[in-house]
Amino acid sequence: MPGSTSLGIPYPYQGETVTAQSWEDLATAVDGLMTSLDTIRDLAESFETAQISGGSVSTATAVTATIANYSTTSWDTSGWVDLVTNPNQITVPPGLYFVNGYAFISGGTTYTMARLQIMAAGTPWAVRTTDGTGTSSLLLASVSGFVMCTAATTALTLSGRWVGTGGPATFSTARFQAVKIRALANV
Amino acid sequence: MEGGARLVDITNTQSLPYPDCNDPGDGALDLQVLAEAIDAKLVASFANFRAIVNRPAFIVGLLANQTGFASGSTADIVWDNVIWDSTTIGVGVGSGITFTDPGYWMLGCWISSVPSGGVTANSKLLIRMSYRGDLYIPVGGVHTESTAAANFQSNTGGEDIVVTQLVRQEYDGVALPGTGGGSVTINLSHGNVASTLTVNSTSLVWGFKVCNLEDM
Repeated sequence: MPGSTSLGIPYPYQGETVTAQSWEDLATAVDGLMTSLDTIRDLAESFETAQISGGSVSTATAVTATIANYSTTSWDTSGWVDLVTNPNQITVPPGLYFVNGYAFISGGTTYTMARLQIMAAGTPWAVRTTDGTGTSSLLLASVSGFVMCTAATTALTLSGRWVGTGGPATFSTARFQAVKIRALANV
Repeated sequence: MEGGARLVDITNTQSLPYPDCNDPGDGALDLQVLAEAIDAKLVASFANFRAIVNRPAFIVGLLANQTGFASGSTADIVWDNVIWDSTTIGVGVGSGITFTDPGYWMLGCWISSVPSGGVTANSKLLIRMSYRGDLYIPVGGVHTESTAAANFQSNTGGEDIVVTQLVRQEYDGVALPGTGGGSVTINLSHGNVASTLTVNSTSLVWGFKVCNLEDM
């Protein structure tokens, strides 16, 4: 019965015969540990992230509408984006995410306010209101937030709302991005 | 050679031991010392990478709406609901949210507010996020940073403001518990004389460690 280190690297006790198997067992254990270390190093070095862009939605005043029909997947490191099936979302596994969204609005006559909100499974996690007395167009500042996703998969979406006259107004050239900050459970 | 004096060499960079050229290299102790040396290196490497992957983070909110923010004064929002916390010691809540892990931190908040009654059109609403951190040097020194965002209350649907900033936190507060670390405070001021403001319970403050300090 060999001894082993805290990580389970086996070695023969003193007095036991050292054989080729002793060396193989040690090397195999170290190989496995280094493979595990490679996995954690990859997680440490590479963030999972995606960005979709080109989305738009037209909506009447005082109505919240989800921006959809994103046309471009700018990047997608972990398969979170399927614009054919879900053209309005980034679908993520459990974790903590930093999310950012941005859009222009146009098409209304006057604007009292416009609002962008980041939603996770339909619940807002960050909202930014921009008030203004603009006329033909209104540029929205981006909205960013830290989102906790606990379900097996969570749809992250970006919604727009405005109040004013005229319209419907269009939120367009939207950009929506997410990056995973960490898993919910420690690795 | 079992049990007797041994001749051992070590590798150049990682100092891993191996029998020297006069040793037949067939002793159990040869493998044990090598296994233990590799083990120590791997334990350290696992810990270093896990510290990055399992980065400290927190999300703090409100258990209920917070009412009574009067115009013309500045008041702190008092946080009371820890939604997520992976900091080493644990965040503290109150008017200041305390956290202790050193490093560069990204902090942010989403403040959702609504007038309790009438609205003074185009009155200003200001949300300020202030960070205060203790320093290693000079002892007792304090580092502060703040940033703010404003909006105008021109509608009855309430206002939503997001503020973010990156801060450098030096002191981990471990050496002197309770006296070190950093805190982030969110305060609100506004000019809505028609009624007080209510901060909605959906409001959040969050932070996550971006990376270690350069000298860690």
